[in-house]
Amino acid sequence: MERLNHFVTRLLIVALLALAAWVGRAWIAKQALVYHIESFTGAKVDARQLSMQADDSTIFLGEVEFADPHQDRKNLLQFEAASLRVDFEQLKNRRLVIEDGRVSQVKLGSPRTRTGRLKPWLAVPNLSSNGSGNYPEVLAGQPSGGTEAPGANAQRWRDSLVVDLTTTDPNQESFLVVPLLKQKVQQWSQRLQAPSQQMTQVDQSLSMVEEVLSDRFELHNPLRSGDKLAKAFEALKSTRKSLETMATQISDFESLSQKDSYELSQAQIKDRQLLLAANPQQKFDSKLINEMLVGELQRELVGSAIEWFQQFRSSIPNPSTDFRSVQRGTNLYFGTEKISQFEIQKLQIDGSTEFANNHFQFAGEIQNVSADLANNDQPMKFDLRAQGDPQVVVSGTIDRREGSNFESIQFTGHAIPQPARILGSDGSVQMSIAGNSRLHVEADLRANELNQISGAITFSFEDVIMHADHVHAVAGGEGTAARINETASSLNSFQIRSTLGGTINLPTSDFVSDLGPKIASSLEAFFLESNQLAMKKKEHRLSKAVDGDLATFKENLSQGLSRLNESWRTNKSRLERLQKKLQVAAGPEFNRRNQLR
Amino acid sequence: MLDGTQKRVSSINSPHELALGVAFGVVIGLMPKDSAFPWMIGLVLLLSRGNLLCGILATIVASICSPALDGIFDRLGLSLLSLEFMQSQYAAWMEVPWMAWTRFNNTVVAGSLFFGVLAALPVYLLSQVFFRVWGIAIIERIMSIKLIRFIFGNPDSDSESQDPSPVPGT
Repeated sequence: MERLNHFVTRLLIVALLALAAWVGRAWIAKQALVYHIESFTGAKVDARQLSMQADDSTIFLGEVEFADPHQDRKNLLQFEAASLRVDFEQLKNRRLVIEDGRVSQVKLGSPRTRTGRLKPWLAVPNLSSNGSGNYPEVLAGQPSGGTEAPGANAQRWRDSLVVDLTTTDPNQESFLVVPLLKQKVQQWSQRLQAPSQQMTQVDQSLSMVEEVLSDRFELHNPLRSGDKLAKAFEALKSTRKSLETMATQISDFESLSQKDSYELSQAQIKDRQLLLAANPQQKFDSKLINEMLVGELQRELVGSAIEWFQQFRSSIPNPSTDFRSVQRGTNLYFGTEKISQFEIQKLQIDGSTEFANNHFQFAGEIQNVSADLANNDQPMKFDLRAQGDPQVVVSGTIDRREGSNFESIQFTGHAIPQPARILGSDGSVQMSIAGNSRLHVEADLRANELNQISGAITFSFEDVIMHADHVHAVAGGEGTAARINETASSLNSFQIRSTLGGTINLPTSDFVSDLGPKIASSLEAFFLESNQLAMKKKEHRLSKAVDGDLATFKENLSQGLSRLNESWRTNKSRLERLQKKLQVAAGPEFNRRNQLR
Repeated sequence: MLDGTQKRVSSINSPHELALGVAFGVVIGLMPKDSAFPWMIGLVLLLSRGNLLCGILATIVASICSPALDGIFDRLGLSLLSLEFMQSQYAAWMEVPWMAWTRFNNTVVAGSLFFGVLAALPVYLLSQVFFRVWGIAIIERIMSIKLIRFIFGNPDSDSESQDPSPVPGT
């Protein structure tokens, strides 16, 4: 009887405990849930409310905070309310599977007022630290690729300029006519020297004959005048010969002067042709201009995008590295498929987060979340839309399954306000963008477990107001800037498309932009016009300078030849006159003798 | 009625019952509480003649000590769960609904359960010797605490009519 009484008493206690458990099932469930999550994450979990609705298998949670295991006063996740439809069938297998749910007012990375550390006796070191982190802590780096210093690019650009707009003075030595003219001047100076000397000699000879003929006393004395007359006859004879030779020479000089004039005019024509042929067309490398103008901007934007991507990757908790699991022992599965103990099939969320110094309100859907992504049937997917301004849509896939371990993200950002920017440098071309432009970003990035990154990002700047502030003097300075501004005034958008490679901490990027070709064609047009104008000026100046020298040469030549002709004619008539006088003075015998000679 | 219940509860204070409570408590205490095993063993303790107070105290003490023994439990559990001839059986158990709640596939759970079950008999025997020599006096002293007396009842009223102790006068 006493044993029966005892048994009844104990049954009563069991019944009371069962009743208490039923009444406090929500509290027990909350404690169990909190205990399990704390064991899993290794940090404190606070849940203020938990209620269950058995008829539609729904759990309601209120004011839940998940502490960050690595940062004491920071939450990994916090939400105000959640309604989760649980698959009770799966509870038989000790699995918490949420088929569908909604979590409201989610905050990521919010601060905590209380410590997030577990009580010391709960923080048992995990014996089964068999997993190593999928992703070691890495810092996103600035992309390389065409990363020459802006100064080097500017220098390279300046070196590429084949047309120098700063030099407008023609180099006279480079023209054919100039040395030819010099040569001719020298030649004619030498040529005319000998006839002049001959003419002087002729003049002296004739003067000597005149002197003989002028002394009448001596002339009437045959004994004394015989030799003198013979000498005079000889002088006249040689003078005649000289004059005849000179006549031929003068005739040759005239034909030579015509020939030289022709040669000089031909050289002038050739020079004009060379001048036109030597007018090169400046071609601009649009890739180099892109590098100068938007290279830095591209690297900055791609660097930010990669940093965002890395932040996103880091914000995805990786149980093996991010959580300090305090679960005791190791679970064995005896060849059966390892299934995650926690799974969310579909979850609607809304909330806010701080990301890259911007506050975002977001809403969207997450699918296939599990505590063990490596053993998921499907990769985890999410589709989030930032509400308000700026408009951002982010969708992505996180696949940690064996053989396809990667994260990918598709990011579309519309109308992101941009600050004023300076493009390029004062060593080449410097342009400014006013601060009211808007940026549209379309990114498709992918990274694997080795942190290798791939993908493309398109940055479209719209409502752009551009102005060329400075162009290096070598490239035409203010004139070129004014011409670029003509192009810039009609340019209200431009695009940069970057292709990424390398790793997260050492990314590489290659980019194309439509800004470079536009600026390049504007510069080319300006250079062509400026060059043509400069060439015309050069030609004009050169013609002016050479024509003057040429005219002087021709005039001097003509004068020289005229003088020679004149002297020749004068001396010839003197010769004839003296010849007659001498014949008269010598008499017929003497004349005959001389004639016979 | 409450008085009667208290008397019935507190009347179970023979060395056997006290030692039984300690043995159950040690087994429960050594095991991780997120397994269904310690709760099932607790239910058995409730329905047995084991002393509840001793069971609770032994559970608390063993729970404090058990993490320090996790290394042993882990290795022991791993050996047990790695037994080749048992693999198919374990796999079959994994498929049984609700079996997962026992977490028998966890090395520490399996190791601590095995260790606890093995230790239960020596603990029971040692406890019985202990209680035979000093136990009743200690229990009675504890039972003289008002709070304990309120929870577990006054043993004097029953022990006056029947002394279950095999060592009268201790």
